Amino acid sequence: MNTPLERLLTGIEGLDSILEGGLTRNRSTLIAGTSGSAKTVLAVQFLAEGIIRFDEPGIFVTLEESPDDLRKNMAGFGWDIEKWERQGKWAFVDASPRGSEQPVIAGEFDFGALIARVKHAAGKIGAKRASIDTLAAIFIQFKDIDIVRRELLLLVESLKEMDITSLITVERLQEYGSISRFGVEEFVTDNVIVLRNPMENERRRRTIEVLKLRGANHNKGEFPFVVSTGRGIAAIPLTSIELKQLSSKKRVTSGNKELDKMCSGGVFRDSVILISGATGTGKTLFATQFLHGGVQQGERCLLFAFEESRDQLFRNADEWGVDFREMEKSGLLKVICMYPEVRGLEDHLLAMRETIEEYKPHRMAVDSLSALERAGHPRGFRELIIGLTSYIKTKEITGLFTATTSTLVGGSSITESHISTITDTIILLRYVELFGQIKRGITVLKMRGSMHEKEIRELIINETGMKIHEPFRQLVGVLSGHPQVLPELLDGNHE
Amino acid sequence: MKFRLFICDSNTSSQLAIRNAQSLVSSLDGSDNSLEIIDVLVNPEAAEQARILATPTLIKEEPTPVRMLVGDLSDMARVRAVLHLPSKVKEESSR
Repeated sequence: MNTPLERLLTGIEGLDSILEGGLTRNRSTLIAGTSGSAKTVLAVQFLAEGIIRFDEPGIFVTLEESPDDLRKNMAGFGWDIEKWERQGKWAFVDASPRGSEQPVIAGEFDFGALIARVKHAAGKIGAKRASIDTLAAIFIQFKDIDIVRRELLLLVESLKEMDITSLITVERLQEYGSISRFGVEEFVTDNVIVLRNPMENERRRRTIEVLKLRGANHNKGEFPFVVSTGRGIAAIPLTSIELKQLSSKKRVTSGNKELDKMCSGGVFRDSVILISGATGTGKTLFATQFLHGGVQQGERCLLFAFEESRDQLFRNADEWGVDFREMEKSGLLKVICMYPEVRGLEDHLLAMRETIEEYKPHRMAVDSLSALERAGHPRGFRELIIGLTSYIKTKEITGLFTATTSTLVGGSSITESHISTITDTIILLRYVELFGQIKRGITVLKMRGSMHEKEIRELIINETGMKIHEPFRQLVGVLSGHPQVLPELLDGNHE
Repeated sequence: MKFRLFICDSNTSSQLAIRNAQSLVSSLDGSDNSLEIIDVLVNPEAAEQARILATPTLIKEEPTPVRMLVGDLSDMARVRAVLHLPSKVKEESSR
């Protein structure tokens, strides 16, 4: 068996876990992307994180933008390149075009000067990392693709000899199709990463894909990422948790005693519960009780509300005998209300993760997922659900999500079909038409790793809260919303 | 005219460029012509200052405008055209 290749952590959030442990050490990685796909940001951040997190100096070979432009443009991300230059942690190799002086080719040439400069700069600061941005400029200037390719191979080889791990950016003309513009760039390096920035449902959606990592494992497929001021690129590694076992057999209250009974004594501490129902069936009330139950046990609780204003939420809770204001004052509750449309789904996920990281809740509720679903595209929504679910599970947080069904009686929602496989417990709330009246029904559809009641019970909600009653008996088709009464009951000869 | 030639060690194209540049300079009229030869391996800082990528690179620094030629200068007709010098053949035939 070969020994696994040594890795170098990039320090870029999310990327190292997509790479399953970072880049392969002293190898070169091609970063291919269309214009505006954040290639330069990634190239700069690779060096910046190296300096900030690992005290590894780096050289930046700029073939397009001037060092001065880079220093200015990157300051917004919080990277003080000038300071690092003074400290001897960052060195530029300035190969940006010299204005009007375009070189004329007159005979055989090589990149001896560039390689000598790279070696000199790297040696001066003891570089561990290098970024070269962007090769397109060199191909345009020197035209002879065969020579350029041969010389780039020499450059990559020199970097390897100096034990430097490098990123080399190249331009693509389309989001899908050939990897690079000149068709040879990808043969220069061992590894290829593609950045994309396509338009989907009238929104830009940035993704990062590791196409090739020679001799090493990595996660496959496209992963969303965001670029934000003050922090740069953050990728969102989505780990599928569908096969993951529950790590905890400890049960906690759902906030409703009767529902706990239906669930054989409560929900598992690190499980995710989905409450699905039409508008007005009591989803927000369940979320409120869930948080109340948590606070009563001394747990820290977090609510992300995407449907109602803060005033509305607090007023409703008041009516149900739950004082959110007092709970917040005690420090055991944090309520965050937001319009789903204010930002993209990827940004929502990152913001939610940040809040969780900071507040460290024991349980959290999202009311409702369906509101978020409307703010994005289906794929982004599924990624958000998977990302959020796997994240709160690793933090051993009890989660409760609500989802709104589109039809008033019966039916299912898109949200449900998206997330039913990754939630542990599904509770359905349904309107039921019975003897000319609308009633509410509740049932536990699934509960992973536990016995649960299979019956459909009647749920009564009034001004003071909710009560779960006896099961509907002698009825079939309750979940469809149009139940049939079994004949024995109609005969009047029952019992 | 004032020239600087950036070369890389003793490789073939660099040695050829030195010979071609020297014969170019000696063919020029006047007495204030000069050619400075810089080896990028010996003096990488000078290459950094001048932002040189390829070797050999010949730079005509004076008189302005500055001109840059990349390669071993074996394409002398092109070199002379870029520098706005009369072609050698013409020169000889006119003598």
